[in-house]
Amino acid sequence: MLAHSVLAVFALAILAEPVVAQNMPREDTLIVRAGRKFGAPELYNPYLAGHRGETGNWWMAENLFYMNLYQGEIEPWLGTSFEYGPNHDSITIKLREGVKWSDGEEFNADDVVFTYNMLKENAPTLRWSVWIKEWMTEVRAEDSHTVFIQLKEPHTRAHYSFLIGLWVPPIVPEHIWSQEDPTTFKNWPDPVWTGPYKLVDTSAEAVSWERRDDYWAKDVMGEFPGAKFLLVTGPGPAEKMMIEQIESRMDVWSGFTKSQYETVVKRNDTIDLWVALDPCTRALWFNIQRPPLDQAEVRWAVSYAINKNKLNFAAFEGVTRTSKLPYPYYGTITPYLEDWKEMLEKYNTEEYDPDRAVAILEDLGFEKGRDGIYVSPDGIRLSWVIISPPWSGHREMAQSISEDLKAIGVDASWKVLEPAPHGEAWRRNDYDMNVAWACAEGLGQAWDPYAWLEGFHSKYALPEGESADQNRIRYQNPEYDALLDELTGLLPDDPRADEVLAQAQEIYMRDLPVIGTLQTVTSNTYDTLHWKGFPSEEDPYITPFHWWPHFLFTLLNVEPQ
Amino acid sequence: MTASLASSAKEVFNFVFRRNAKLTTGFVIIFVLVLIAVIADLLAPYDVASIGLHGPDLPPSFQNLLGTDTLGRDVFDQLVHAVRQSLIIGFFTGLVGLVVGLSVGIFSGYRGGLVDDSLRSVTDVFLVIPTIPLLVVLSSYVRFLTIPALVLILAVFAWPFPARTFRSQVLSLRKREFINLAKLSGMSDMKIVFREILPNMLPYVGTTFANSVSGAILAEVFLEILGLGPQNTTTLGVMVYWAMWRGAMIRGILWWVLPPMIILVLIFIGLQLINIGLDEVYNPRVRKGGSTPA
Repeated sequence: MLAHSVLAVFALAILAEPVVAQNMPREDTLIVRAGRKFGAPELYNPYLAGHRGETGNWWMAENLFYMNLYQGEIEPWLGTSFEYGPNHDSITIKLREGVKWSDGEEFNADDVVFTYNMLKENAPTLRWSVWIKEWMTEVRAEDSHTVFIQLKEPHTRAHYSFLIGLWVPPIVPEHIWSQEDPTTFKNWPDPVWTGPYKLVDTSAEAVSWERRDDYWAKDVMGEFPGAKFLLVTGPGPAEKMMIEQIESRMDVWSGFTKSQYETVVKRNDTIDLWVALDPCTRALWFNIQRPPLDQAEVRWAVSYAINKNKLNFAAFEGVTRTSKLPYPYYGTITPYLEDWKEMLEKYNTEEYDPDRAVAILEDLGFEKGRDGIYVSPDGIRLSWVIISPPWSGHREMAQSISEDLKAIGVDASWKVLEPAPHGEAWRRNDYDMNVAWACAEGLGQAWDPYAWLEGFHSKYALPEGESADQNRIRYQNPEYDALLDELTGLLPDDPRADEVLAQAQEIYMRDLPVIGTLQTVTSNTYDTLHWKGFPSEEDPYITPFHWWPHFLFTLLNVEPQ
Repeated sequence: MTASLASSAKEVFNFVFRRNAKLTTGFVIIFVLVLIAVIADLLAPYDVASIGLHGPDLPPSFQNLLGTDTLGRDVFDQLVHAVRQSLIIGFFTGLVGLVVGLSVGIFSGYRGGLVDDSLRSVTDVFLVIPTIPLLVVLSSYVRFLTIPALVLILAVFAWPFPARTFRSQVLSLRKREFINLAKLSGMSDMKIVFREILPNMLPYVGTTFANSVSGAILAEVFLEILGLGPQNTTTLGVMVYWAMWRGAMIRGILWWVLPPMIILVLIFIGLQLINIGLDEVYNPRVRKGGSTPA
């Protein structure tokens, strides 16, 4: 009986093909394979838990500004400029004229004011609402295309959190959302956005979009997408994805390992490959509330026990490099490696020295039990489970780390969790160690370490068991908080800011709540059989990751062969 | 018809090796695999799951008999340990399912009445539970899935079908003359069950056990392919999972993907041959010539 059920499910999994709408000719359709399944395919409200923007919703919910990491520039889009007031306690945003919502209504300052006020009124339920409520004391329209925002106190980097961050709150149409309860509104089946496509159909397997001939940027910016249809489908097993790309049955994919993309590129000469640096390093998170991991020395012992070169081999087949900092080595970050050279030599997370790890433990009074496993002076046996999500590279890292820890006398094991339970365990701080990524809210760590460090301010430390977005590990250090508070009021180019940032970074390195073990690279494969104009290493006009809102620029650049 | 358990088993054993080629072949296949499982530590004394012990994707050679995988692990070493773990999962799940199913089936069928109605209802409820989705949910929410935990989870769903099968057999047997005779002679219910009913159900016990073992091994492979099994331990499912995850088939790393699949096929063929052989031994309708050993 059990065998029959299993065989039936196997057969279904093998035979299942994504649904392709019959009225979407292949040569007119750009096919993008999303990296995650669409858990709630009828949810197009980006402010609710469970929303998956990879359906294409991120691309249609256009932002005021986009941070272009490869160009190091801010791209104005629905907004044209923003400016801080003299004391950095206010921001004035100018909006672009001529922008229209997909239902023909004009996009203007009222929509922006409504969106931020909606978030303030619905904190903490809606995503981004906590920060907006905390910092925006007043939002008002100065004229139809100018928005004034009063901050509660001077903040020189407030724009990271809601204007240029890689994921920021999208502006919603007031004339629709004001009639709805934003905490339950699905924004479906006809989501109104300013983006270039309208939703045609959505299911758990596939989402299809059709180009809007009345897209505002066609006349205002001279921008128009080349593909008439968009088909976004969920991922499949690695073998299946490789076959689909080899047979040109999909155009955009991201996630092959080195050996996989080498095979695909070899067998399909229309595939373009860009192995690009990802803004989130691969990190090991500690539960610093669980003894003895609450001791920084023990966390450093773990760091020395981990062979990072082996991690690189396990997770990325050796394609990437080990990391000294939990930040991506973009041109915005690499100067810090030189500025903080001494500090990073003192606190060297790249170093692999198992003898030193053992020495640290034994200096702390740990002794091996009869089973060869270390026991703390308090009698706690070192038995740790390392959790990881099921993404490529993560589970291999968890296994590799567990092997390294076993080698020094820790009863380490690893467990792969599905995305939902993994995310829940992470937010509730319910794990021993967690292999995940190091991303600040808005991914600001890609250009300013402040964005990452600020996320460990104790004001975000919720009681154990509560679901937290910031400071998930509940790090608390008044000295560190004071430095971050001071930084918040200093301009990034103020000489004092460099000094304070270095001090905060040194405390972070000393306490090591999260190790940024490896720089992350992501392989992006594009099929040029039907389409050209994808971003590449030679022409990195935008970051290549299709699950980001920035994929909008790829849509606007891609044209038929 | 008052054969004891021991004599019945002896008859089956003799019949296997003298009369039924399928049963013999099945037993030989399973015996060889069990032997590999037992001496796995002698065949592969290393920590087989360790990453980077060898070079990646090396084809078979004298040093690495079945080559290595992309993570630099010896495939032969993994395989012999995987056979052990998968057989353990199959055997113990099958055993738990069999013991529970047999107990429920016999008690329900022999007692009849309200007991039968109640147990049959419980069994029916378990039979209609969508097993696979529930396994997926259970596996993903167990904090740390070990082999014993997996066996328990699988066993929860391994007993109802045997229970229904055994109940039907008991319902049929309890109306037979030799059972009435046993009752009239004052034999206790326990003695009737163990001396009269159980020996007559041995072939069903064998086939049910073989089916349960197959189902458990297949379910483990399924969970592993979803990434939900106990991945700390190398099983055949884990090997298939890693090979699939890294695209071994399409990359032509056949020495990685084929060995666990071949072993899985051998396990199923072995168990099915035992299944068919037992059926031929005890079911005159499917037997070509010969008579029942009893």
